[in-house]
Amino acid sequence: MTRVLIRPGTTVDRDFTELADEMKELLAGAVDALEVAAGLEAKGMSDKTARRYGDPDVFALAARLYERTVRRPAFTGPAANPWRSQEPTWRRGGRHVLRGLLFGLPGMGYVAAAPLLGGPSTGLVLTLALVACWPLGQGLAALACSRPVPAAARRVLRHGVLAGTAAMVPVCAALGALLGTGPAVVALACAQSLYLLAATAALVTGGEVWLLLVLLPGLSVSFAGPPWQLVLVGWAVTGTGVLVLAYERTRGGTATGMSWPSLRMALPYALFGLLVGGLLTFTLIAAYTGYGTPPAATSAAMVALSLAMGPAEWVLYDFRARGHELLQETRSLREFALHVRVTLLELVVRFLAVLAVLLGLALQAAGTSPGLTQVAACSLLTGGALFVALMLQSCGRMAVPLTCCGTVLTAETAVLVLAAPPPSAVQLYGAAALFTVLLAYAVAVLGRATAHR
Amino acid sequence: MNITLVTEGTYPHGHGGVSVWCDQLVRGMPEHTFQVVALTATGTEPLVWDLPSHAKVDAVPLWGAVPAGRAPSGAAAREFTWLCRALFELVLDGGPYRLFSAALRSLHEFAQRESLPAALNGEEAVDTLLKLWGERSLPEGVAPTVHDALTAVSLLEHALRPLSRPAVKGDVTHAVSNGVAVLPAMVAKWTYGTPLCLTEHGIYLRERYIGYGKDYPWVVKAFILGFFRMLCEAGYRAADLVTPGNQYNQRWETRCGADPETIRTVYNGVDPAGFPPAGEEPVRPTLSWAGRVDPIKDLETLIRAFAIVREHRPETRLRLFGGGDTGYRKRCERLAADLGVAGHVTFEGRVENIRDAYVAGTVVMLSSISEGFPYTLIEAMACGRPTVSTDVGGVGEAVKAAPDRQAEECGLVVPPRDPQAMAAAALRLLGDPELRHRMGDAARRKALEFFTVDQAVSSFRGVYRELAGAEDP
Repeated sequence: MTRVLIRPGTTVDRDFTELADEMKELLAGAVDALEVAAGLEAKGMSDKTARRYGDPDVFALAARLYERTVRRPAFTGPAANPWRSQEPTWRRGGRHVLRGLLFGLPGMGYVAAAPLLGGPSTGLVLTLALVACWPLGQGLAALACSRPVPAAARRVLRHGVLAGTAAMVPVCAALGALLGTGPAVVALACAQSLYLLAATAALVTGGEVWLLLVLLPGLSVSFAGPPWQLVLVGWAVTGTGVLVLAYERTRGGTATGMSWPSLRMALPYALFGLLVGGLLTFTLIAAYTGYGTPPAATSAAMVALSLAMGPAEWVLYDFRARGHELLQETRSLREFALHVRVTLLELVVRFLAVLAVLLGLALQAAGTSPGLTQVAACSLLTGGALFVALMLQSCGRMAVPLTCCGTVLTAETAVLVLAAPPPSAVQLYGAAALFTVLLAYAVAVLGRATAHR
Repeated sequence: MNITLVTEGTYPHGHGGVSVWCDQLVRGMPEHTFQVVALTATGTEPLVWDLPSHAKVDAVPLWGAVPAGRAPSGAAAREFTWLCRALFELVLDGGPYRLFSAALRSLHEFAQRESLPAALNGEEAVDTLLKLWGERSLPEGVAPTVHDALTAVSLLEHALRPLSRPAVKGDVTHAVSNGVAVLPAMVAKWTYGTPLCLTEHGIYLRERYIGYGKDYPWVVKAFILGFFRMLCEAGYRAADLVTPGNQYNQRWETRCGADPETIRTVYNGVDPAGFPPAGEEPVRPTLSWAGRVDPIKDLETLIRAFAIVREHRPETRLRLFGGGDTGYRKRCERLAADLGVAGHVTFEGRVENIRDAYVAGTVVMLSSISEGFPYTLIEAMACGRPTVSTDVGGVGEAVKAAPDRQAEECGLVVPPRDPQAMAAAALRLLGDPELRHRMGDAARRKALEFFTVDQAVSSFRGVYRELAGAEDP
């Protein structure tokens, strides 16, 4: 090897500059000289090698490097936004609209098949079974989404669909016995429960398009209005399809890793499902139990509300994504609070506008009937309240929406039983109160930065 | 005696050198009871070590869900604001370790009455940090956001979780690393005056500097490293005895506040029964390596060195034993292919008995850029194999000739990241059977004399007696 002869002094300085250049990234972002020392040692430098630069040890060399350079940390870029997917907007939007359709379509089926369902007790059994099964679906979805790996979620869903349906059978049977309907209605209620849970499994695992496809036979026969035998066949095909779909989507599950805490975590979601079911079907159940008659447009409005839940999810994602962005754009809590509150109100208005359009279309289709305005107003307020509750829920504020929904439902029932005013008026005032209180609470607590972490 | 052994992310939930060491220690002293306070991620990790009957484990999750509790109000809220501000100022500006320890102690006392995690997760802490950042001059282009403050406070909240737990009563606390693991030890010291032995295999702070905060914005990194710097100094000062696993580590320990008087090096040890002499050399000249496949082991330098060795001794092969980072392994395989030695470098994966890795080598190699006091080296020495290792951490101490003795060097040491030097050393050994035997024998003698489990265990038996005795004169 040839040796280059350089005067000792200059060797030191030139090597030093070279070293500083080699480590310029670390030096620009170092928080102190010790970080530089750690970086030097990670490069394999020891006190022995530090002496080559004229320093007694690594620490002295690091201190010199740190002092001789300027801190200019590289911008790390904004943290990844967990609420903003890379998907193109049309696709994301399309999926949410599709989900809305899937929430609403079975309802349309009922509307179309209503004449075939027979007496009021049939309807009551089906409605009550629906309200009872809804929390199971919500809880199951929450439980599955809380699993760390998709395979564990699949196993949870498979067990959940089976256990949930098994749990619903005695409930449906009891309802049938209590209200004096035949075994056919009980069987229908059981099938409905199985459908709801299987559809939950399909939705949680991203099988939206498939679910739409298997729904088509049942829906088309309902709308076409052929003899009841054909309707039955159509829905039987759909029912089997959903079962097969749920089976397919939950294959290859692994250990669920379930524990009591995870079940406790899912409980508020289930309870929320139950309360929402109660609030929405208030006038229907009231009517079946002998209080008033529900306005004719109620079913159409419920379909519109279900359809709106798709866009609601979309707007909700937007809210969380905006919140996350604002955290990275603002420099004080006051600034953040102001911006996030404006965003919140803007998005509530956006959702209400979408809901208003859907209600308009649904009610138009249902034709004019008495109490139409009241139904529209009540649905808007209920929808708004549910949307705000979902916003709160998504930011980890579970207790207050639950308490408010529970209180309003209890109060509505109490007023109805004690004073027997028209159920639709009770529902309207209840919805107005719920929306106002939840919105005020949301504006207060969701303005906090800590709610958006 | 009741020994409180505090670990972070290692024994009994993890594999690796530190866990091996803990297991040796606990099993080696059945006359004491061990309360293992294991700081873990979620608290649901499965145990990977069987605990003997005289040891119990108490898992303290640092990263699970926020423990239940309400944010403080009234006087407690005002007290928290004050404490929070004091702690943040020390973290941002540095300051005397006594003040920092006092702040931690006050936070511990606060956490016994109120929920510290709930308090730290409130708006107050975030607001305080944003204001303090606003009052300081920061490097060019650094403008802290609300998100930065949330991230920094959240990292701190997780690190401080051990403060919320009541003190563990024992005769001696033995923290197996600095950093978060000294928090339970400090709590025991404040509450019961329990003496503290602090063992470090690596250097906690140095590892944080290298591995922590790379993905965080500068202010967050500066904040959390500032916290660890203060915490490590407080840890060294609180320790009645600091026992690094090698002498080289003392440089960092004294630099960061440890009193040289309280430092005593205790080397890791191997069980000689598990590592009898390796015996016959392999028929084909072989360089072998054992460890976790990871960039810190710098296998690339080893492969480059091997390519040079093959230019002079084409019959040589390289066998690498151990699992690990598959991405890094792929990189190494590509490098071997580029250098035209792909067919002669084999990744053997994990082996049931690590000794097989040493038996398989004519010469055992260690190419790491950073090490404490590596087990692979002393195990290879115990087997009587000659070694070529990089001069990092305690490696030089392990292989240098025993002091005051007419003894041989026990292995060759080369600078890290220097394939030429590593190849030259390997070639020297490959070409001289007599030197190999001399070095192998010397290595085995030295390992049996200085680096056995029995010695490590009896050192700590003495340490425990000494520390517990110092308590009641």
